[in-house]
Amino acid sequence: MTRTPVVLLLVSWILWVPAPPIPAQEEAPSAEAENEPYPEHTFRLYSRRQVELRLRPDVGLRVPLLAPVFSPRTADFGDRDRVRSWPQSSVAFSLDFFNADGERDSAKAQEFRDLDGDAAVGVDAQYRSERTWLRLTGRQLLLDDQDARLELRRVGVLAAKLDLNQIPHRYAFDAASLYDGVGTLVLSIPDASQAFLQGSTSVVDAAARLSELVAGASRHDLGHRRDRLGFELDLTAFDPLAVELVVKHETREGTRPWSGSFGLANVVEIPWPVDYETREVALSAEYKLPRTLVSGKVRVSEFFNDAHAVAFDNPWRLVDSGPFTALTSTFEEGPASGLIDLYPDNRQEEAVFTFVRSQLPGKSSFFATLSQGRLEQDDPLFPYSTNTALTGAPFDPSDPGNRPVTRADAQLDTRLVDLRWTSRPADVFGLQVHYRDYELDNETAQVFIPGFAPEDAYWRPYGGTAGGFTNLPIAHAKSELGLELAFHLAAGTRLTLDYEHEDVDRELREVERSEEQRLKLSLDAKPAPWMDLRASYLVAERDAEEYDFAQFFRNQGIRFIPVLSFLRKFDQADRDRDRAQLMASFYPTESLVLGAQLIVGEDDYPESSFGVLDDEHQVYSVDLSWAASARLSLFASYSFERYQVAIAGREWIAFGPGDPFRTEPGLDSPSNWSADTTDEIDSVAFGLEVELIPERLRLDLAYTWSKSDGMIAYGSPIGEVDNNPGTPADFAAVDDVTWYNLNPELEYTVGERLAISLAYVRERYEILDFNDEGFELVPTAPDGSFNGGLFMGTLPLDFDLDVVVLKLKVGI
Amino acid sequence: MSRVTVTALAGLSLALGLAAGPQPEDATATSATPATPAPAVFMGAEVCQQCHFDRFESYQNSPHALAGDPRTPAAKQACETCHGAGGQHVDGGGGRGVGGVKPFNATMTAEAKNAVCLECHARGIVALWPGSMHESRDLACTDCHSIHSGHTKLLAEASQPPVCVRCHQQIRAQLMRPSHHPIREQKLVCTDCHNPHGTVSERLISATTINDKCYECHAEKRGPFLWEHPPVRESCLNCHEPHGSTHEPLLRVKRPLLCQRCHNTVGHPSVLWARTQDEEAAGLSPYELRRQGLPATMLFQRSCTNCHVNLHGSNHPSGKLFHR
Repeated sequence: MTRTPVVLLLVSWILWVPAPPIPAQEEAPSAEAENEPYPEHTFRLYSRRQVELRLRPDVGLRVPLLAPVFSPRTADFGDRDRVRSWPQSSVAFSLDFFNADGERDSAKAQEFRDLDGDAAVGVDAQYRSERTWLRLTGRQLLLDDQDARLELRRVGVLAAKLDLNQIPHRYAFDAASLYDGVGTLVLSIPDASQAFLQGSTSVVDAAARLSELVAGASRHDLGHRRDRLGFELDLTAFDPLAVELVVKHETREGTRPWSGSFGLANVVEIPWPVDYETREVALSAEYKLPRTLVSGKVRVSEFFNDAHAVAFDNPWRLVDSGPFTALTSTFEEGPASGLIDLYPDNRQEEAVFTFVRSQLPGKSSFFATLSQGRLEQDDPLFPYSTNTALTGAPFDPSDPGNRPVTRADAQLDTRLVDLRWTSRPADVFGLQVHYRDYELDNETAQVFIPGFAPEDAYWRPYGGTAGGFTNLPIAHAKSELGLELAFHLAAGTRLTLDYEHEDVDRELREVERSEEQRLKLSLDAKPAPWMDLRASYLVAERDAEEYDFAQFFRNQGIRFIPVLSFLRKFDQADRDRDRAQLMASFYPTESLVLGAQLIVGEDDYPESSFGVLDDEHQVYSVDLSWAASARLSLFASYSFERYQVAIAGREWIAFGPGDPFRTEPGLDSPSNWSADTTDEIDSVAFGLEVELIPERLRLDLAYTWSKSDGMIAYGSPIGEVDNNPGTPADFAAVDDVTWYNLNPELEYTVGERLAISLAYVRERYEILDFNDEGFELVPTAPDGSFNGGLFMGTLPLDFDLDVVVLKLKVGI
Repeated sequence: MSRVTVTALAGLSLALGLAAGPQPEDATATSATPATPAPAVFMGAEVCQQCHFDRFESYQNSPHALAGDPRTPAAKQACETCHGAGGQHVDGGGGRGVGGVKPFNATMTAEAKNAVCLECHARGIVALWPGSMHESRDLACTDCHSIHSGHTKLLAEASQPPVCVRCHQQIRAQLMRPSHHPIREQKLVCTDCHNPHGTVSERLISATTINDKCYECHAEKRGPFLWEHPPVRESCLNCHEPHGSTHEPLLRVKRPLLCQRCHNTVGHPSVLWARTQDEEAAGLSPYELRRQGLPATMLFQRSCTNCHVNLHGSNHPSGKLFHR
């Protein structure tokens, strides 16, 4: 209610502020034109097709026209006058009736869309006068994935936009769970079931008992819906001052499958509750003079999570116990329940100031942007554990009074300075200097913690130098200085040399300082009117200062170093980077475009013996767009991509085989392993638009097909004292997915105000992955013993989808 | 001498050599501009539409035709605001290249085309266009926009992604992958994350940093947290490929290898599975081994994140290893 006066005031002001007068038009001199016969223009549902022959007719991703999709297009306000008379209005409705088969095969079939209904409505209503533009569009109305937009433009005064967008996020259908309270903050299992499992007599018996319970588990659809509401208001009445207000509100409610764990032999997949709300307000103002632009923006975003934590029962334990052995135990030891701290409420603030000065000497322009931001959260902390039977702790870890601090009090401050000066001192030469400095300071306090309870299973004292350890408030700063020289060799031909030097300073990470030099050569040419050529080559070298593999532990006060000392984390390691790209477009005729693209790149880590050693990719693409006539256009594309990453590691045990500090301090070890991952992907797209009967019958067809082939090839020395006691098995099926979508749509225009279309969607998704092979909700070892996990069945499944749609499009 | 230096010298030599050499015939420059410009004679849209009615009709449906706004072409010289005075074009009987009108086709340079648009559109999201990535690569406004297309924002295609993937063909392929943002489903568009007209961030991200952009939709992950995961804080792209991946959820590499790029920790099983010599001799495939329940569950399904569940950061006193 308190906002009402403000809204009324705003509306009054909008209505009161007069629009600028319409300038007088210069009178058209030709009188002969008025005597020419006019083509017949009647009202149409949509604007007539404009085939822009100079542009590619349809060269993009052909978005599959899913069943209820209604794609508003600009209305055709055609009347019998050549020059419009205003106001004009137009209302079009789309009534979609559809029937889907296979939509419940897999949640993947409805990951971001809703096919459960059988009807949807679309609307596109427009009103336009010489001073006002009003438009309402809506798609998939009545379904879970509906969206709508209301736009108002009053010329010279304001532009306003109100958006509603609902996006389903579906993860699994019919997921099995032993838990009651799915979707709430407390996931409980009946005591009788816990007692039954706790009473297992062996790991084989345990598997049998669990399987028995899972057979009767309840089934749940897991997912949530993202509801977005946005409002934008641009005030232009005070030109050259423009003011913009953006307000956003978003909620997400539901569940998402993720994990919980009580130890190495007791993983439990659980539905995390999702109950998020995000609010954002941004206010900006811009003042533009002929040579100067100044703008400022303030943005505040707040996130609220009503699901601060999820408590979940341990299927295997009715009674808490907590010796060290609980970490590797299933039913013998462990907590009766666990608690995971879910995402905390948080707040982000940002202020941005931009200054632009153009038309400086030497055809120069100067751009400066300053930004200051803050992220903060202060959620209360939970106790160390829900387990009331932990042993070895200096206090009761389940007592909230023994928390190290009561609240997180975490804060990050960010700062950005971005300066750019561009110049064109000569027609053949351009110059640009760019400086960017970004800093992220971490103001979060370092909290002393004497020990912790991993997975609520046992108390783990970290006997560090101070009898405990601390969190690490990591921070970083990145500054870039760039110089770009552009040589305009001929009209439409430019050779550009772009050099950048980047310094990265990090706090509390393995590499405190690194620098990278990057050089990019680009050639953009139009060697002939029928050809465009773009090529670039980037070479970069990143040099890191001393790599301190132990800092993470030493800075926390931890003496024992549990990581492989030879490994270099790829984001900080020395790196040689090469990137090359070649793109050519040919226009043999005005209506035909042929495109080809080659992208190759490699990141080499010359100082790394473990971790990422090499990362390569190659992409080859061709496409074709052809507007054969004003009634027929088609598009086709093909891409092949290959991504290869080489990774090396070692399987090691402290004081045992492979230990890099004691038993095997060298690089070589029979416990070393290597993994070469390869992903090869073929993608095909085809689109066709044809007017079979002019102004009457139209066919749209879209087809996409992609196939990915993943592979992990392992290697390892064999023999001796080896933690890999055999030949590593290659995995030939790693997310191998074949996915296609065929979507023809035939539209018949019955009359000026009615069109009927029949659409069909055929979609198939097929996945082969090593996770799927032999998958069971309760995995067991060859001897029938429990193998450490209880799953819900949320891996992506194959689906075969058929949808038939009848659409009525009605214009009023 | 470093590779960067060698490449720089080679590139500079090439540039200077080409610049110093004979300039190729400027076949693409507009030849319509007369040496001595004649006085501009505006004919008015009534005349233009007689021959170019299809273009005129689409113009009338566009925001440019809102005559009530003094900034629009409709409030100025209509068609001739952008195309130039048409007097000589009409006197010459019309036709391509006649009379010096600006045709916005291949005979005009990108710079010349853009100069027309920038006369009015030099603020807001376009304020940082000069020197931006697309400007540096000689893109013209009309490469993406078509004033006469009739589409929203006067895009050259019915929606954004088809426009962008004309050049970004790799992205087109990525958008078709199993794990993707809802772009195919028309729930997101490229400009939800990018501003193709220029930004202060890498990759034309329309936020201060890449992470700040991700936080707009994934606000729950921005923290900050008591226990920070450093590569997560520095860049979401360290682990995720936002345009699409074969590995759910938008991961660059399959788990556990994703994590093993940085982590090799004591006591953790790391190889998915290895066959014993007997098993190998028996020809057992990894899938058959898997059916037998091998290896440990911890490497399958969500792999490392089966246990390390809060890998984006944790606030829990026992969250040091992101378990809670």
